[in-house]
Amino acid sequence: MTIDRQELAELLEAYALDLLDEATRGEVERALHLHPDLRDRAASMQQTLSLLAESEEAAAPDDLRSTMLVAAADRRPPGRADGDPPAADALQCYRETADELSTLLEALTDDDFGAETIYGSTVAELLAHLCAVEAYTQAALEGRPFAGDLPDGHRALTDPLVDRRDRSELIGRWRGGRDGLVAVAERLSSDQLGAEVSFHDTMLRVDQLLVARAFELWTHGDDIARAVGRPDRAPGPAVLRTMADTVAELLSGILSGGRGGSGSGDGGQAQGSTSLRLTLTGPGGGSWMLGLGPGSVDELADADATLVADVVDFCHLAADRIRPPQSLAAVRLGNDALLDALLAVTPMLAEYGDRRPDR
Amino acid sequence: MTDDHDWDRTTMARLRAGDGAALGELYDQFGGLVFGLARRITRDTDLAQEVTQEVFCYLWQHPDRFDDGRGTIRSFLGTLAHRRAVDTVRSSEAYRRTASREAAQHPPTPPDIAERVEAYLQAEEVRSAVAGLPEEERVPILLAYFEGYSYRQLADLLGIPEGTAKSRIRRAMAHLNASLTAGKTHDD
Repeated sequence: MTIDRQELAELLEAYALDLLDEATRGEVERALHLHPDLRDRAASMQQTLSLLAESEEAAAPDDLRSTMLVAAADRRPPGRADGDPPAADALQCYRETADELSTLLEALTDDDFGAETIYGSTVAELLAHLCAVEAYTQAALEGRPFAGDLPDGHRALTDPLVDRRDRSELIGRWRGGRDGLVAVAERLSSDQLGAEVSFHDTMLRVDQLLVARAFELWTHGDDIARAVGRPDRAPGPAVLRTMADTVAELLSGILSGGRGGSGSGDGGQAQGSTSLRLTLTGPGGGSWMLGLGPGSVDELADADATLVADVVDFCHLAADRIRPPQSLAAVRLGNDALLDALLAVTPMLAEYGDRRPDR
Repeated sequence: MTDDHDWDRTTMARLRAGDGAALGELYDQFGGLVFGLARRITRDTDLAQEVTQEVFCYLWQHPDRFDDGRGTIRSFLGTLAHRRAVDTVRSSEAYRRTASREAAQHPPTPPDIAERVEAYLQAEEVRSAVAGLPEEERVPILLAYFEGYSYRQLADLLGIPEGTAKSRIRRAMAHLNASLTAGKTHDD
């Protein structure tokens, strides 16, 4: 059965009043998608009728709220964004982000390599920095010392390439470093991926380190794109979700004064047993309870404070690309001091996968 | 944009992101509306609780079904609650048997029903808008919305042709839309 426009218009009141049988209702809903004006009219009728319903408002039984929340969590676990694919694993996250950067680099010209990007570095100098950090990361994963001492000495390996402005060789060197890092990571067992390594004087799990590296490649890819007049590109939802997971995990550690917090969490630690919810919207987003005190936190519980922001924007904040942190477009709910602490420590995560020449 | 609209957008964005506390906040805001309407239609507290739980679980599972360009969360939840409650009543054999037995013993008359329905309208703005309708429009739309009467049933009850029942409801809807929605829009 196909409903034409005139028939559809005739059925709108009955549809809004729920007088139609299930089959006809389904036909009407399919037809409404073809006629946006009638869809708006039906919505307007439903809006009017819902005002009638206001007069029926009544107190529900006390236990219905908790019963409903438990039932809802059974149907869709809290924390994950609706409709997103599963999160990427750490290596996939690194590989996909590196591939994106590789594609961008391939499209650049010699002139582009001389363009000034962030911190006064040229694109070539930034790529030289990445070459060094890739080698440093590989050394960390292999448990061997790295020849160059960050931050000053690490470019000794690649500065000659910059001086010669040898674009192809520089890209080739970086790709070689990427491939070497991937090869090492592919050989790691899940236990080894979960083991901690020292990186820039911070202890990180190997999987966190790979995600941190992916994060830096995305960030510097954007730096380069901006320098040469190309648009920013965000990773896909699966990769973004993994990055956001890692950001939330590291933030939780910093804010509670635990792992990852030493030497970088000044002013960020809250006292007592409090909870802070980070809700990141958009594809790849999610919601995390960041425990700021001893004991676990309930994913469904109300938090002392909630920060709601776009997931890409928040990642830019974590990459220290939004200054001051308070200029992040976000909805703040609850305790302002907690939210200020969160915003203050988030840009410090930029140091986890990187040690910039200016630091 | 209004504060309410911003709240709707933020809360639904939180819901899509999987923020369970946002669902609790939605329940705190609209649980009474959904439960009250469900109880009014089902006339059964247990069924009303089931409907209420289903409505909020549905929103949690399918947050993408809400389109903030086509109305408020309040309206969306009201529509969901009404539909779920009506479907529940229709599928409840026990309810149907009871209702038909009661109807056979004490057949309702239109003024009785209209008075009963109007007694539930507590909000002044709504009472005023409904009171402003001519009786020939007021009775059928209240019976249809709160009692689930079909056009055929209305025609039989009121002794009018089915087409007339339909046109009266259409006019009632237009009049209510003008007086309620316009007022709400400005208030928001």
